[in-house]
Amino acid sequence: MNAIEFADVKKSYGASEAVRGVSMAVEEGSLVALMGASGSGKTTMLKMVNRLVVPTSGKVLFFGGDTASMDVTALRKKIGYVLQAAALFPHMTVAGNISTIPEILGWDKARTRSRVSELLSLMGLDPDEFAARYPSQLSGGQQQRVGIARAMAGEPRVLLMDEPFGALDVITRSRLQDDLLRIHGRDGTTILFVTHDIDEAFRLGGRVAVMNGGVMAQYGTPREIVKNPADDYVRQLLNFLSVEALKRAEKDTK
Amino acid sequence: MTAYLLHYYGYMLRAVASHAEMIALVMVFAIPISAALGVLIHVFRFPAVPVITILEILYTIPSLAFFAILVPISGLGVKSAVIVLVCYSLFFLVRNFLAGLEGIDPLVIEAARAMGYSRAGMFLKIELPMAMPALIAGTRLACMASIGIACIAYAIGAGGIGTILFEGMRQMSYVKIAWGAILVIALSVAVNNLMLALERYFTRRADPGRTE
Repeated sequence: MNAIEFADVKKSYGASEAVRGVSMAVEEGSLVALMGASGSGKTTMLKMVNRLVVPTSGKVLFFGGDTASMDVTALRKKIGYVLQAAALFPHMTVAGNISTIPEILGWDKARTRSRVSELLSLMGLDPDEFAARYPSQLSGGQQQRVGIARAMAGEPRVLLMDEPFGALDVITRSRLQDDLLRIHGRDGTTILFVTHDIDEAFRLGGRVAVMNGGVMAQYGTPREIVKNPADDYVRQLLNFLSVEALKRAEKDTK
Repeated sequence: MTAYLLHYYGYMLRAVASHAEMIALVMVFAIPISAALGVLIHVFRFPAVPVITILEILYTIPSLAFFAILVPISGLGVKSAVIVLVCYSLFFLVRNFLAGLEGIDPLVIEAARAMGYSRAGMFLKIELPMAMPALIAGTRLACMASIGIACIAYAIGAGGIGTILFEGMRQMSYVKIAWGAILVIALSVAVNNLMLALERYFTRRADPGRTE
């Protein structure tokens, strides 16, 4: 089953075309990295899934249903969303932030509380220490961990991540990448992950979609892309892939 | 000075009380009206420009002229004074409230939208608590302006501290003028400090983790 399917999707803002007819499918349970330079249309693609952006033409399907005909809040409740900045609510505690979606979904208090503890532990934050803190008392890495926990709280079918580790230092980023792979391996939530970092895309993505100028340059496993780059742009990109990432892609241990 | 105080403290206290009462009455009307206008503009996307323009025009009318215009309509007394002061206050309140709502980090709003909040839910749970400090700051400015202008409202028989000031001017009594000025300043400082404390409280509530 495809969790997300883009069918000849286009998006233009006035005269400029951000996305020029892209078709791709994200299989349920997979982790797909959507990579490209700034202005390649990758974030626009991502935001069309939860209808923060409405396509000019074409369709976006969510588990087979046309998102255009769905109730937008009902759709969004099934989708977790993580931004580059954690964008936590500063007036709520960590527990309050994570409880937002369970509260919107009308979960009872006990279930919400246990979900908060579970997610904090999963993200490597001790619930006793962190639940009652406020966002501005956390480091950038901790804030982003809470941001991910908040997005996962309502047990979404799909997690959309828009360069979530872009603003973090290398060590924190690397740890969070490991954690994300671990979490994905554990509960198999479908993840669509936007990044401009080719190493990150190849490290995380079971499949990688390379966007260039609003079109899809290539969509395949890291191994397929390394073995068989679709065009000059992809070939050029691969020059920037680190040696370790290249080796991993050739072996394709995923 | 002290002789006047000892003799007329009851009279002075009543003047201050009626002044404060007038300001309180103004806020009782102005805050809900401005909140409604703010919601209309911010949540229901009613165009802000005409509303702000009307409030700006009202604000430019000199207070004495505004009082005079209202006398044939709403008569002499507190009623006319309150209407004028509400009009002036709306200018500060609406502008500050909107500035507070529009000053929220757009990424926070995007995150909230993406979570599937209803429009009302997002306003009440996210936007309002984050815009509260700006709303209170607007209220403080409106109170300060109103306390000053309310002195002139004596001219249309609205009472207040203006009574002592105008009597002082008519009788060329420096003691009365000085006491009137002191009372207005004291009331302003007291209300200002009260509002500042409220502002600090809501600023803390809007981001309790930030250490000053």
